[in-house]
Amino acid sequence: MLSAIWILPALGGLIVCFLPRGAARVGAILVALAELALTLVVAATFDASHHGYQYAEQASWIAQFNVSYHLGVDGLSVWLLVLNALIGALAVLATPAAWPRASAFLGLMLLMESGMAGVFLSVDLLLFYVFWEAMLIPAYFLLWLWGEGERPNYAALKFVLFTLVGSLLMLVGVLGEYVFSSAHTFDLPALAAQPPSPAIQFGLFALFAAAFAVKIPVWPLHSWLPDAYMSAPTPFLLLLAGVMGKTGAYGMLRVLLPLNPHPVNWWDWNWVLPVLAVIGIAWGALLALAQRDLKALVAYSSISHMGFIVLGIFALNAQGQEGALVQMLNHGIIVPALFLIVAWIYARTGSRDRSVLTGLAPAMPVLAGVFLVVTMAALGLPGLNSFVGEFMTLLGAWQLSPWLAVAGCIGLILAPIYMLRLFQGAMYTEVAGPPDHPAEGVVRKDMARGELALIAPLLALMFVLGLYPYLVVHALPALGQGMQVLHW
Amino acid sequence: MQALALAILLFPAAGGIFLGVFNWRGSRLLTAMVGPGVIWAAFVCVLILLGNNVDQDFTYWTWIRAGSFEVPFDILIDHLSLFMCLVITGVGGLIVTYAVGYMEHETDGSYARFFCYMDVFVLAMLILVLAGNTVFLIVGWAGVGLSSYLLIGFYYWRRSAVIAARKAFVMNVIGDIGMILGAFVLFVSYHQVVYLKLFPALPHTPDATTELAAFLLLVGGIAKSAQLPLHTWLPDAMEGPTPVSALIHAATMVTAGVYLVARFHPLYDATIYAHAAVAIIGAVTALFAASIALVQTDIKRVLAYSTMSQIGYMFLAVGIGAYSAGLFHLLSHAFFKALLFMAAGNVIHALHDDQDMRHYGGLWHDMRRSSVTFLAGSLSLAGIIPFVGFFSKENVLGEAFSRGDGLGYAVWFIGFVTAVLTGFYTGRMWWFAFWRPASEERPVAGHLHEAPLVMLVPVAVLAVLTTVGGFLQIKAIGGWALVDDFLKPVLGEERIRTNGLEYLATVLTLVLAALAFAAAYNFWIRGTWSPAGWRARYGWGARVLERKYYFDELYDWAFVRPLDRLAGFTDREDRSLIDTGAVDVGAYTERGAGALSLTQTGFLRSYVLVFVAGVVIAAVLVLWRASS
Repeated sequence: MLSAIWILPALGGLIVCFLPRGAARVGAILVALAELALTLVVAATFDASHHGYQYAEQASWIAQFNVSYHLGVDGLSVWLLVLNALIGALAVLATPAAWPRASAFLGLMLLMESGMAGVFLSVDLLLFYVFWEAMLIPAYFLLWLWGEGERPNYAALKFVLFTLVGSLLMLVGVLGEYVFSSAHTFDLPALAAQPPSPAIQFGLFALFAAAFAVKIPVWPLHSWLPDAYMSAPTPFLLLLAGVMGKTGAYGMLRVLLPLNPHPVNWWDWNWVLPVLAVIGIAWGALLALAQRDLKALVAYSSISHMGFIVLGIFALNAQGQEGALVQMLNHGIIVPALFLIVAWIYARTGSRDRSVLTGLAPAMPVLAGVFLVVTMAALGLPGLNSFVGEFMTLLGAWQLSPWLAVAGCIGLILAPIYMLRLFQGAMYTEVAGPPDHPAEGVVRKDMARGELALIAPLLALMFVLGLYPYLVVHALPALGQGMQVLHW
Repeated sequence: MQALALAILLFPAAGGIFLGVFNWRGSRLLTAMVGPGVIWAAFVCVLILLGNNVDQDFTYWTWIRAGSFEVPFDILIDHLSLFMCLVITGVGGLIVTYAVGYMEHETDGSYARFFCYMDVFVLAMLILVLAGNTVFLIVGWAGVGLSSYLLIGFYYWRRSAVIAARKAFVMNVIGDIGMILGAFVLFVSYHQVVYLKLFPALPHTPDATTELAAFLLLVGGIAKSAQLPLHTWLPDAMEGPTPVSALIHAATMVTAGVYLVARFHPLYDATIYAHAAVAIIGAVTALFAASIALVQTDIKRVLAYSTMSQIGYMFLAVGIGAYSAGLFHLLSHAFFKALLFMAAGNVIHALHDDQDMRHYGGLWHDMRRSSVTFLAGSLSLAGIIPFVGFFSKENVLGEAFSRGDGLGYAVWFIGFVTAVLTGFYTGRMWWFAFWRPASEERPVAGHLHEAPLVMLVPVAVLAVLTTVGGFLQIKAIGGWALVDDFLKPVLGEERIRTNGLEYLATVLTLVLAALAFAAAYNFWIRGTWSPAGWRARYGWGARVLERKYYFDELYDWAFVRPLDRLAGFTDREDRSLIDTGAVDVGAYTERGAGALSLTQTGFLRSYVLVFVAGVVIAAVLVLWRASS
């Protein structure tokens, strides 16, 4: 069952690459929807009271090094798999039929989705690493060949170099775990049960932390993000921003902390990362405040929001880490919605500059309403999803140190300022005139039914996760392996 | 009863969803029925709960759970929440009904949008008062902030409205963060979020934790209730349509801070500094706002500052521990201030949205019905017997006076001075805008159209309540105290007045306030004293008041501009420092890589290709081994 989750989009993607344009789109949509159905079945039949990996599949792979092909899901990964499949499906659906070289594009997107599914499924460290690298390759080609803007080449290269540096550090870490753990295996539960000595853990922690921090990204390793997000075409951006950043946070929870639970006590990594996270929260928010381009604004706000996730993870308590998981899902829901909206505004007006855009609400009331809900979710309005995650990560951080939580609140104060500038700048103010006289040059076209259908699941999830987050987090205690840092 | 308690929320929620999603360009008639209808339905639910003497915490589902942190979705029905619900749905129902007439000129889309927002507001406000735990309280708290934002910015094609809306939102988010941190402190120290479990766990003697929690919650309270120093958004909020000002920025939302302190009275009772801070902030704000109201010329802004001032009285009351006096003034203020806004709305409506009192006059002659109701509201605001404002304000000041300590006398004195100023600016509003002969600048020269019935009836109902409502609690003349009795189960016994001296203080306040109201006649009608002459003599004072003590300028200089500069600085540094640093490292690596490969990109791509091959081979191997 679990193998099918990564093989389906991988095979599907390879086939779609060689199909003619029209068939490719239909095929890709079918594959993506089947993938979504598959993950939903796993999530629905998931047993929240069971401890240990579920639906596990294990086969020896490289016997002499104890590498095994070991897949499994637990309360941490199951909803991330669903998120991956959902955003994958939306990304495929958001690709217009007239896309350049559509077959290859869709095929690569499915391959990338497959790689990310593999990351969430792996219970073997080497397998994890293989999938980690595998998701990067299609991402690189997608960014390089379909990039927009002035320097897609540059953005793609920067993205790949940053990530590759991280990956190589991680490869050293992966091998280090094998060599220094007395278990001499790559199996995650076994490694977590027998961690290496604290001094070794110290070094391994640094290697893994760097790899994951680049991917998330954690300040100050974020400088690939604006270039990559700015040049990424929207469908690809949904996957890149919506899911790929979460693989880094997932790695921290799945690999970094459980495998290195007690790094040396004279230097506490567990303090470095939350401080960097808080700096990132404020830094990203200030950057977002300075942007005029809507896409750049959303990209920078993403840095701020990812900071909450890291802060929650390193609060090292149940509230913080549960908040981090919720926030991973929230960010995966909200950011794709924002990028979709920005793309639609751009398609209608030919501009993404908030100082040029104005008064679109009368011409497109439905889009204005949808945008309002997404804006409120993004700025953390209680009752919508983001609040739950931010509240819990900050509550977790408060217990580590109240000052971290107070500093994290800077992000909460700045978020309404930049988000309302974004929303009001595009939708409100007088230049467009009262409802009867919209400004000249604005395409008076509200959201099409297809666009509404595309964003509707994301909107629904904003309400569902805001009012009933327990739906997701009740599964979290069913962890696959001993995680010393999580106390339930 | 569990379902009925939830129905209080479900009715306005359903109304908001129906109007916002399904009927947003549908039938106007349906909108006019559903918009107020759902609020009246919620009102009926509240009455049934009240009739059945329900006093219970209903839990519906688990909202959040993480370790020991468990937040249920629960509704607390007790006399305090029912009292608030009566105000919200009762006065709210009247105001939204009134809006059916007031908003008739809007286009179809805006018409439905308005009632959708109003229903969402009522929903959020009901969540705020019905929430049974601190986290759910924050949901309501931020929800009213959202609807306030939407309604202030209702005329979104006006730049001033959009900016005012954003200002209100951001200031309220600062308050929300105070609430959030306060909830953290309470949870981390006492391990509870549900009120009924939290309050018994609180200590009875003051300590740093309770003081901190109480101060943090108070930040939320002063932001929402527009008290110093987080008050600057409220006058600007008058950009919203007048029914919004009546409902949100007078009767209900801005009084949330008073409810908060009353709800958390076990916490505030256990503190010294935070509790005194409530009283002092309230008293100072009352005087501060009343002084600004003396010189404003926009009728809605005068009413906005008077709202700030009256909420200051409520803070004063709950700050000295006279909780039910504060809530009685809340009720009384909901009656007379909603009345004043709606009566003023009738005038504004008739004068084509002109809000400048200098262009008014002659209204007593042309709009007799609206003027009579406005007069009832004015006398109540000024604290003239027997209107409701007299009894409730007397109750607050009497409690302060009979407290018998320095704090009590100090806030009483500020409250007393404020009462006199209130008499004067209310008199100015009445004589200058309504009584005086028609101004030559009046936008409608001839006969004015009195408001239609749908607007007059709610105003008349409130005028009656304003006139007779004071007899709920006539402690001023030594009579019964129905509000105290009703709230006793939650708030405990009110203090018994000890000496007779406060009755003297009451008479003094009443006489001076009445004289101030009358003195305004000499200024603006008889011209015995000329306002222009006073202005010539005390011009600097008038300027300070007209500029509202320069708070907006101060905040602009201290926060708004530095923030923009900081954002610009971050943006530059992010490009120059961090990005360049990273790219430099990359460049050195490229040179190193150049030695290994012909070109750098070739190196990368071949790496990638090798990797793809590796993955494919590995995958094939796995499948092969797994199958064999």
